[in-house]
Amino acid sequence: MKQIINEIWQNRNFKLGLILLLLVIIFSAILPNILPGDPNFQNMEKCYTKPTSQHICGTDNLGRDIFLRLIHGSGLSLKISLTTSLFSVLIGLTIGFISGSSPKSIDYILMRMTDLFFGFPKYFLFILVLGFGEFSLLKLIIVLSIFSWMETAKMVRSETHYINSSLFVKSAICQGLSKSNLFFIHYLPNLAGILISSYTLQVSTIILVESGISFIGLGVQSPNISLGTILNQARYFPYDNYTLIIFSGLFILLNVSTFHFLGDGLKATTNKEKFQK
Amino acid sequence: MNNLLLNVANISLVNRNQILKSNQSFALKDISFSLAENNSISLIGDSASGKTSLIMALLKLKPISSGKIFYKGKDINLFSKTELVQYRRNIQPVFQNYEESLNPLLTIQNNLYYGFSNRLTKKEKLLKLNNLVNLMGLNNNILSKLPFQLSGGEKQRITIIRALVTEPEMIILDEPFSSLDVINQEKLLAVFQQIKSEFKVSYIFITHKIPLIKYFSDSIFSINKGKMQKLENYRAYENLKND
Repeated sequence: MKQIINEIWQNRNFKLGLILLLLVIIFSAILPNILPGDPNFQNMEKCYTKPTSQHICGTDNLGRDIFLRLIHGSGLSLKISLTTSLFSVLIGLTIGFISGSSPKSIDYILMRMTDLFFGFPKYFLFILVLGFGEFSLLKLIIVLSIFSWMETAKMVRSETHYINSSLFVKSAICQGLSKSNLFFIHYLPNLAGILISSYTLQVSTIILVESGISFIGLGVQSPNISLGTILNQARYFPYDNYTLIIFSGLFILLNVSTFHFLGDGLKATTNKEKFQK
Repeated sequence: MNNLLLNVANISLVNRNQILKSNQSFALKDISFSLAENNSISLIGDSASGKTSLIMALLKLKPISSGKIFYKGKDINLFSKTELVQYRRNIQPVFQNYEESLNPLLTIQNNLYYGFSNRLTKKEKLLKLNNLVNLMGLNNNILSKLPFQLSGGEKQRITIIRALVTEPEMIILDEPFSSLDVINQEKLLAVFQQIKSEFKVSYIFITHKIPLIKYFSDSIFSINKGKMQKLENYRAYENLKND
């Protein structure tokens, strides 16, 4: 374990990701709870103010403080993407592992079902499902999770096939390990690299997808704020509201690149081939 | 006369080509032999002769196409789940490819620990583990290392320790001396003899190192292209190869 932690700590991408994560935590988790003020408070006398010491990112068309809105919006975007990615990785792990360790017929059915999900035009389905009925965060998370587990499932399945044929699993079977023990002792540690990198990369993808959906007005709805909804408001007055476009874009970039760097770093260091020779 | 431990009767194993279903080849063909308690047999054969397939078939990790395997008089195909678990615990393999035999992400202790009987306490398990490590001539600090930090010989001995933690009645040793120098081969041979007399363990011994067989075997078999043949002595294999 110490060895693995050392390996991870020596990775540059991971270190950079960790520094960015610290910024993300400060902006999205700590500051919204410390800074006073309502992000939805409107002051029509202060519309389109340039960045000042009082409003460090300026104000929008309704006189709302952009920085306050960004830190609250970023928090919600992260909550959605972290939860959605967790669900999608869990679904991917379950389907991939069952597929990889089952007889060929079940494997075939599960993989064709996965291909079917791959083939669905995602955005069309998001519009179809989210456009009808009342909006809720749970509905958004469920819809995003249902259409984002497939890559993880394919990777887990192929790795499970590889682990199945390994001699340490055959030896463990001969030692009488139960299926649950086999999974937790031998399969899960060997799948951890895939799951961690899959999760972190999924988080950054979901941030972008959620922003896209909210941008077209089907995602997070007022009074809730996400980075996508902020960007959506900016498009009405692009020349007056350019600070809104720049800062919300920067926040999306910060969140996405944080998890990309973390994912890349973890992927490189949890590569088990490193521990095989 | 010792009791019969394992009786293999005319087993065959067919390898099917996944693409051309009609293209079949025999990995094992009409293999028969028996092994009594506390006895040893040796198996000599070149690579791709069917030795690994035989190990997999004996452990019921690959289904056989025909024939039967009896363990203490009972057909292993008729074993219940619990009986099969116990059977596999009693027949432990030591695979030739020791690099792949250890989970690369677990420490040596964790690679070995889970094979112990659940009836033992944690303290008893660790004590037994330390004794086995010492028996194999290894230092106890090896337990906290990861497999990639070990030399080939150390890994090989660790896989032998893993076979011993279940207190088996029989061990299948696939090329156990392949990455050891002559001195360590002799030491290991002495350990095998000690285990045999102390724990009443039977061996199926698979090797290319023919001279070592004479120290070990009650009977010798050769295996070639899935077919098995009993030999009078280890010199007969040389004659067989020359023919």
